Amino acid sequence: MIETQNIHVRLAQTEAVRDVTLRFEPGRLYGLVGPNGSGKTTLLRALAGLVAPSAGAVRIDDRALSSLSLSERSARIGYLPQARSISWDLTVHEIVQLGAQRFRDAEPRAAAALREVGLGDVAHRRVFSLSGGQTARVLLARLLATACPVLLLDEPLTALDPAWQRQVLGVLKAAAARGHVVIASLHDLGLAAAFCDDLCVMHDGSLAGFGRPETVFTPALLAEVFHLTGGFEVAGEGTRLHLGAHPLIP
Amino acid sequence: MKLWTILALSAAFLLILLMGMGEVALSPADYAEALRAPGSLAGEIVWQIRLPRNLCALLVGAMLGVAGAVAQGYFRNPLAEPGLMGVSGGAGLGAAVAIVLGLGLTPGAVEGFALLFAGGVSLIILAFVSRFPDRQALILLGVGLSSLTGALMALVFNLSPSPVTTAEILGWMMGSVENRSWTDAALAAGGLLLAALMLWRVGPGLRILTLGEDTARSQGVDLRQLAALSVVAISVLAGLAVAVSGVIGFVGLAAPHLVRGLGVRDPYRLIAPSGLAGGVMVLLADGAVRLLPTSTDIRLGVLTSLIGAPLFAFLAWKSAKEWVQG
Repeated sequence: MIETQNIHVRLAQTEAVRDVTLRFEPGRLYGLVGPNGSGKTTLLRALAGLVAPSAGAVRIDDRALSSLSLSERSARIGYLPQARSISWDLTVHEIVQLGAQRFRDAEPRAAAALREVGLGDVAHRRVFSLSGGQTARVLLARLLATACPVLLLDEPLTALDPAWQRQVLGVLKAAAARGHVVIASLHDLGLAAAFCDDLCVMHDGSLAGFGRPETVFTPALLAEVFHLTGGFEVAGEGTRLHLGAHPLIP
Repeated sequence: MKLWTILALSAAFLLILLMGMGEVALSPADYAEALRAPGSLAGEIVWQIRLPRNLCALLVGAMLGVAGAVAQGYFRNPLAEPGLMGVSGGAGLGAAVAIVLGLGLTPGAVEGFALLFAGGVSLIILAFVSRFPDRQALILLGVGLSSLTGALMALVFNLSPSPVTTAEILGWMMGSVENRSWTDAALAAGGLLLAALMLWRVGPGLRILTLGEDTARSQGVDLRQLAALSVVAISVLAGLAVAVSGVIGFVGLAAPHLVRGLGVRDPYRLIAPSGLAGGVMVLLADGAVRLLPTSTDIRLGVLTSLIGAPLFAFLAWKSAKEWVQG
């Protein structure tokens, strides 16, 4: 379990996250959504311990994140940054093994993570020879190989085609089902509503909504936060998010 | 055969081959005598002239190769080299000051001054890194410090009391391992050992840094410690290399590239083979310097720069092509 208690995060002169209190439980996939600049990345970085809150605290399993040593923290929280920079042309397997390096059996763990993202057959290829989408999946496999109880992902669907976006969300859902806390920032509201157990909506650095997609994505919130018309509608036996074609950008 | 074995065998082969090269031709009997009686004439040539020279070539090359590999790993840039932060410039300035002060012939003085100045520059860099562990900022500081040591070097030339002194500084700046002593070899070996201890801690961090600073931090890498140890290791190696042999350009840049070209891309696993490759390169260059049929000796640093500078330009060209093509 990881939680934030009234955290504020200042970046330069701006308050990027304002008074956010949240609690994330194991076994659930959380979608972190919000327009550009709403504070999603900053909130994820604060949860990962990469930026210190200017006020409030992040706690993991009832311990203050700031009280953990670097190695304790890295064993609990895995983080996939938005920037997909790779400096050297390592093999796919070498990169994924970086995630599992704290384990004695790093090699089989890396191999399993690669299979999970459908790249078992390119393990010995050089990473610079892969497509953007494959590279994104390699980096996701590196995160999965950390086997951390909390997995934080900043826009993991970038560069993926529609089929792999769904596949990756399936992989994240499976990780949650294995008992991980999985928090991913997403831009596709339809996918977020379809796959995530709970959504956390950020708006101008503040929390605009938190809970199950059907309860969070009200027409009023969609209009106010995302400048979109829409809401949940009955589709077959369940419901699905319907979004209007024309944005309400003032 | 493993890359390690090939490089180690090449270094050993060159070391032995170069023991047979020098102004005095020695017969097998002379070598036998040198082994039996180190105090004999042949013994003096083998133990006090050739072996220290060849060992210094190997060790200086190794220091430059290791420093280059760490610099490229830390700065995450294939164009980084040990002189980037201005430590080599500081060492060169120190040596020039020692020569101007008339200490050129005092044993250990030139090396001592070079180390002192390199240490001074390193302290400035370390103070900077402990506050701002940022690679880009460090490169900018390095550009500033390199320019400053260059300007001070020009001032030393400007104020040099005689053309002889100027020529002496220039000769030293061109780099050589001629007439080096066991003290120089011990200094180089000590520097390598010290750096190895630091790099043993730094290496895994450099490897994860491949995926960027956020990923490295999230996996438990202390970036401040990584920056400090990397900078100290590069400074010790680059400063000592200049103190022992003068300026030997481009080995630090080229050795890691050579090893990368042979298939090692992991910045941690690159370090030790780059050291061996650097040693092989300087041994080869020092052999070539002795073989070149010129009336005046071509200096070692001149030769490595002559070969290395076009290589650097080529690499810049190739990198630019990759960047532009995205």
